Amino acid sequence: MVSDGFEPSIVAFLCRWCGYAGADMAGTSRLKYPPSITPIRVPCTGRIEMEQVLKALRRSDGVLIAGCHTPGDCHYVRGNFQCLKRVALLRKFLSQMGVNPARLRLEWISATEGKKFAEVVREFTRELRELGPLGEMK
Amino acid sequence: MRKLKLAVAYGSICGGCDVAFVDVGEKLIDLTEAADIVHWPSLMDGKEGDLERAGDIDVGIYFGGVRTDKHKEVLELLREKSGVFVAFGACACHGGVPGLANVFKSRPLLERGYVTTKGVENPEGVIPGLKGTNPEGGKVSVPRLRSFLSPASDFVDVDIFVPGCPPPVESVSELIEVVKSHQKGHSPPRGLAIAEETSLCDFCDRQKSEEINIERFRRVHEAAVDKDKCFLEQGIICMGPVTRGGCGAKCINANMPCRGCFGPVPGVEDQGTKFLTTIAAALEAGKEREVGEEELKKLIRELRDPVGLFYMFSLAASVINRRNSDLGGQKVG
Repeated sequence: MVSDGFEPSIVAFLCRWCGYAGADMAGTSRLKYPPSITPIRVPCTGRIEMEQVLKALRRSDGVLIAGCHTPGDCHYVRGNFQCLKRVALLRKFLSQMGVNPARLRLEWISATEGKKFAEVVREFTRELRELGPLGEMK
Repeated sequence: MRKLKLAVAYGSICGGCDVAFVDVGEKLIDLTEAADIVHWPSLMDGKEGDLERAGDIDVGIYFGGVRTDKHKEVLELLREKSGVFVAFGACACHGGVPGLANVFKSRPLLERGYVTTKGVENPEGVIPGLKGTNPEGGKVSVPRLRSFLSPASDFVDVDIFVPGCPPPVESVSELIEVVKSHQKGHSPPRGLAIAEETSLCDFCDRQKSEEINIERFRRVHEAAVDKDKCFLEQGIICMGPVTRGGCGAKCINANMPCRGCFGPVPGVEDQGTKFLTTIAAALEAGKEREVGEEELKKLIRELRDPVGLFYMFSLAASVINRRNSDLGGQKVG
């Protein structure tokens, strides 16, 4: 914990097959990670509209997207790649807009990788604590 | 029949909307038969305060975005006095090109304008203050720049939107018809937009295939553009799919891609991000596995200036705006 007590809030879009199952695995394995995330289950990372990511960023400090490993794990064949391309472009957009692109994180987490899920949340929370709150400009 | 009172007031304008409006020609006579123009700075002699003294107005038309406190004051005054309020042009509807300045804070903008622009001689880096004296010794002041530019609809309720940069003659004609029927007692529905309900693609005659696959992005000057084929299939960014139709596809027919001046299609809030979602998916569609993650990211990086391309006219109305930023808040003045 840093001294000013800032705790980031993270919106996590988790794919139904991998990311969310991985989060479940972290839970059933009783792994500890900060209570900073608000998980949202989606059918596939390829179904996430980037507008929703921006809307999430309006009310949080960072967005985590977790889906199936590339190249071949996606339940819908190439949804993970769609998300990868969109996120790459959105990060470029964010840096142009003066938002640190590190606030948007994409991870491939399979259903068995509860440990990785917990680790990613811990690391992301730590990074966001350092970045501080996503400011509102008056 | 009572003649209506019509007023035009300005925010941050370039003057193009005035030119576009009078471009309608003889139809202006129809307008003056239906309404008396009580205030229109570029067409009639007028002083500050005329709008305030004008009494109630039936149709108030606002050009431009809101960049200074003065613009906001004029906008709110016009709205308060007007029975029907019209946001005319891309700036009033979605912020327009000046909205792109929202990627900077006001201070760097002023520095760019007065100090660092090539051809400007200003070795001491003087940025004029907001208050000063004129040669006769009188006090003058310039309205403060707001932190970011906003479209009119951020502050007031808009009855009629006339999108376009500038709105085409056909839209102006239609607006005049609306004013005429308003005079006869038919009030326009709230939130009426003088545009089509679907995207520009529906009004574009170019050949389009079922699925668009882009191998690499090109800029217009980098390719010999096939005038019969969809721009996107040629790798050229065309905002058609997410842009509201109603412009008459003039750019497309002149072999130039759509830049999006009519704003988002109804149902889409954020034109640029919607386009981003679409266009990223079309890159090497179906061949991602063979191309691989790193190569895909590289191809994405080749796309220059996504904000400028995707939000040329609607950045001020986007979801992430100056409202959220790591730049932090800083006021000028």
